[in-house]
Amino acid sequence: MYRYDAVDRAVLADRTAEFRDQVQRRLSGELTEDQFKPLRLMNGLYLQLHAYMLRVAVPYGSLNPVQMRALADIARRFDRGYGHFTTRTNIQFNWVKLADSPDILDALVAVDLHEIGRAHV
Amino acid sequence: MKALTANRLSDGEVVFWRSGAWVERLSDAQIFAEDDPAAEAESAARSQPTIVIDPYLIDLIDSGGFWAPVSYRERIRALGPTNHESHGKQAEGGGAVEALRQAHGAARSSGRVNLIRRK
Repeated sequence: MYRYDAVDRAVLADRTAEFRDQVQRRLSGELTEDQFKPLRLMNGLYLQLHAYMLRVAVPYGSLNPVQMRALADIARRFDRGYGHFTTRTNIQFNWVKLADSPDILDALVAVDLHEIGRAHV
Repeated sequence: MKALTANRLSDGEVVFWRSGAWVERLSDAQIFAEDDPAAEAESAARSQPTIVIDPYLIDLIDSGGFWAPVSYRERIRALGPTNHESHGKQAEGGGAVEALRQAHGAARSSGRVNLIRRK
């Protein structure tokens, strides 16, 4: 399994803080959807037909039990109790709220998971 | 007949215009018989970028006494995800959901009014 080091974690901490700010500015209207869309896509957050969808990377398709439980916890707290493992070894959450997505990213980063680059821009 | 639809910014939910507010069920939506009120509602909706994303008008047809979207894509939006019957608002069931399931329309057309925006 890939093991994160201090540099990886620092990069992710900056990234999630930046995304939190971007979401805040979208919700306040400071950013338009056209401005926000590429930013949220870079963090794996799609807007699909019915809801937002967050795509989380599972590097090498490998999870440890701590990460597995964290994903289940995220599904319970922020979603509808389930997630979707994809053929590309990602996991997708289909019912996330925009305002919760920074907290979800923080919960992922806490167990060395991320969603960077999980969408096409 | 037309309705005005969009996705809610907060959670991406499919919503429909009803006299200045947004409702989640197509059966609760405001139905426009005339173009002018529909266009007015659309501009009013476009001035709410912190509430909804990309509002647009859709065409409706009668289906067993309920209004249903002409296009397959819009019927899916009104019902819920197609991967499972218990996902999304279609899980509520009832007459309105059945009417949406039974409706026939144009499989190919998006049923979206003015899909191609001419500058």
